[in-house]
Amino acid sequence: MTETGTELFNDKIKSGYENCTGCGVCMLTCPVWRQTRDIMLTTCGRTRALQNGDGPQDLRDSLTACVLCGSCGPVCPAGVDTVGLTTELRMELAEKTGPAPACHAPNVVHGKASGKVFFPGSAMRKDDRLLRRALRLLEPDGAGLYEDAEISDMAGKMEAGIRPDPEWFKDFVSSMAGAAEIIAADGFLHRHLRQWLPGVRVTGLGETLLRRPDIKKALKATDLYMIEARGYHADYGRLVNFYDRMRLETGCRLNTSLQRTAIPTGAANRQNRPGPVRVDAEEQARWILDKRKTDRVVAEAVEDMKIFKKMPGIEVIHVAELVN
Amino acid sequence: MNTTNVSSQALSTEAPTQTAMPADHVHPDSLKGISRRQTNPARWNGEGWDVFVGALRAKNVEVREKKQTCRVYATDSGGLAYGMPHGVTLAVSAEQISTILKEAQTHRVPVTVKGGGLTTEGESVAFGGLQLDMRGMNRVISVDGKNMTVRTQAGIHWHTLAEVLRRDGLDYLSAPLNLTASVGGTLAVGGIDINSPRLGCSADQAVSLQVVTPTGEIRECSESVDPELFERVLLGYGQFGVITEAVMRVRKFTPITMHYFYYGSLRDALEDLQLLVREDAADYCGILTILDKAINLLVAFDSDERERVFFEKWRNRIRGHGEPAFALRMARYYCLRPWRIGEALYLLGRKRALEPAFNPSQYMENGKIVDRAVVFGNQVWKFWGGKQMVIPDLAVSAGKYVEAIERGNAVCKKYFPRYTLYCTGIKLSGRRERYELSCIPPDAVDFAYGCEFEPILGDTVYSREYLQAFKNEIYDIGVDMKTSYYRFGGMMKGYVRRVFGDEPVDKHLAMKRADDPAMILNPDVIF
Repeated sequence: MTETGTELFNDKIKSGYENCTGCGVCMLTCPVWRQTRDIMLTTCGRTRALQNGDGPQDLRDSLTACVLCGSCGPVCPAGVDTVGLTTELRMELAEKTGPAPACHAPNVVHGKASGKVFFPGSAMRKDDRLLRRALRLLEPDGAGLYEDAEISDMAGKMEAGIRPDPEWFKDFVSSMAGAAEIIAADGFLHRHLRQWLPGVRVTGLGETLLRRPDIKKALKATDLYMIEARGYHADYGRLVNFYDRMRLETGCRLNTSLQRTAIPTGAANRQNRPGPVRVDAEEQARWILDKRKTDRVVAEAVEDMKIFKKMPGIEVIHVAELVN
Repeated sequence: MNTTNVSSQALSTEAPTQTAMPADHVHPDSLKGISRRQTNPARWNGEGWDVFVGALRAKNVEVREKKQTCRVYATDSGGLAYGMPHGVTLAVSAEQISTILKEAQTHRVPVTVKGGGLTTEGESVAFGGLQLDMRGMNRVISVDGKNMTVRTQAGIHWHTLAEVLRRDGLDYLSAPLNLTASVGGTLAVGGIDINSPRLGCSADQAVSLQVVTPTGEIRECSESVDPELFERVLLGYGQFGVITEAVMRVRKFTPITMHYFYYGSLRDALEDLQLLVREDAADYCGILTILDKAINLLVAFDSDERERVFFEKWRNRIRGHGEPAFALRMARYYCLRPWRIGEALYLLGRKRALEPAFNPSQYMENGKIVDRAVVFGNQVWKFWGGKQMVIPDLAVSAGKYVEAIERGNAVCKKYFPRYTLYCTGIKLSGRRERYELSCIPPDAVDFAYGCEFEPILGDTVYSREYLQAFKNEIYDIGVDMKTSYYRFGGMMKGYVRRVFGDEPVDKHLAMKRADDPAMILNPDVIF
């Protein structure tokens, strides 16, 4: 239980850093490492520094550089909860250096969720055409749109290291009491939703749509399918097989690495604290495309679409646009 | 958590004395009269550091001196040697490294190079001075599909190199199982994989190198250009230059088919391994054991044709069992020895954990394993990794192999309840100068053989002296049998002269003194 009284994060999560052996396997999949080659800016550097007695204030640059893609987590042989650790350290840093900003939610009464609900996330909400298209595909399966602006706002702040308001959190959990499944386009939320709502099934938008035969059939062998990295790594053990089967069935390529983690663009990163290092999302996209012959990118995340649209000569669509 | 202190039986009976270790750690008498214990070298006293750093900064070389940064570099994978650099520089170019080494010669500041940091005897740990982190030079420069070569910066991890090569459908020839090793570090010490019986050690795949010498010259070398430097730097333990770029041979990437044969006798398995290596019967082969009870001879193939020939010609000549037959034998063995039920359960538990981990579905396609190096590399860390990596080894010629490994196995049994042996062969590339004073034993012809002796430490905390005593006993086998080791630098460098004799050591020391007048590059590794 933390000082804020919420059970969002606890000491068990943080204690994982003690198990780090410094093997450096996490660096192999880290986009920050790929672009900087600086161990101090990676999970490995942070855990080693913590083992040496350093605190979040000593790790400011490293903490702000991380895009929380989570690709380091599944490959860690010591089982360190890398995303939980970084998120928690960001919150500690914010408390120590900033004006201890609990994320005060507006006085909004949450609607009561029931059955299967869809959280489109802030990026998709800004694209009405795409949102309607996704809904048309989800509604026949019983999923209803949930007004998640407040949750998106909360997610953005949490990513930046601001703890949620306990009152808001309590309201949110009670409003979700009737939900059986949440389809969340924002992969950052997945691990937190699973933690907060243990009885509720949490899936990504891409995974849900790919379960429709018509969507899967519309994928071509020449497509590059961009898995949304955060949600994928948050449930890696299950999804690695799901997407691998999908690859074998459709013949399409995936944005996966040799470690079978998803190579992120980092475009979904909402960390807005100033820091000296920023992952260049376009550089990541160029690496994902490098020597992969493809004429179409099919993305799960709206943020990724925007980045790939800057790449010349490639058609970019959202997974919801695969069928009419 | 258990704690095991040094046992009097386990440690040498030599009485500790107050005799100081000679200043020259590879002096013929370096280990005489002192207890069988290696220690960290003395920390460099820092004289001239500020002027050195000032000179570097004036030339736009960044040196990080913050304690938070230096502390991250305090140890290596071995986790037994601890030091602290005065500062750290992230390598960015050969020119930058040249500047550093020139200033280091002038100001007599030690420079310790770190790649993946997978040394186990503190070879990449800086005991003062500058730590040069080569991982800053981590990019592939060009892939030449026509000539089947790759030119890469030497600080690159093997994994990253594989990731880039895979986009062209290519692969490196041979790399250590641990993919966080760097190319430069591996070329400087050898590098052994389960395809080394066929393709040699990693260092032998180098076509040419860019090297910054200890005095700061940037030189290209190969078998035809500056061959002396080329031979000196390959397997040179970082004594004669910093490898900044390497051109290496590559090959087509292939998924592989793997087969496992189980033995109850270490001797039978070792003899069969040697047969397969000698006869080039498999593309990959090696032995991995659980204690000396479940001995697993692994063979693998790049092509269906090679696999077919193996089963036609060689399968019946090796004595290993398939899994069901071996399980029956083990069941019978432990039924007759019910007091060893704990050991039986350990073997069963270990097998159950290892088997799926080495065959994950996302890496399997049409019955073949794809990216096996990644799978193996990850599982090595998961099942054998830890904060302390204690992996003494022996590298021997063919005729001494079985005896050396049986003796090493007895040492493992004496010290640890749980351990693994990892054995394979190494094809030699003729008689090369680079093999002198290296992991290739002087008497090896055509093939060398090696074995790593790795205790499973688990949650038990062993004292450093206990672990060191174990390593000493393994290394003593090497001295007694005149073999070599994969690793003999750092804390174990007192063994260099004992195992190789005066002549090659004096020769290399003279070369080192000529090439590195201030003796600043990678001090405490060999010289």
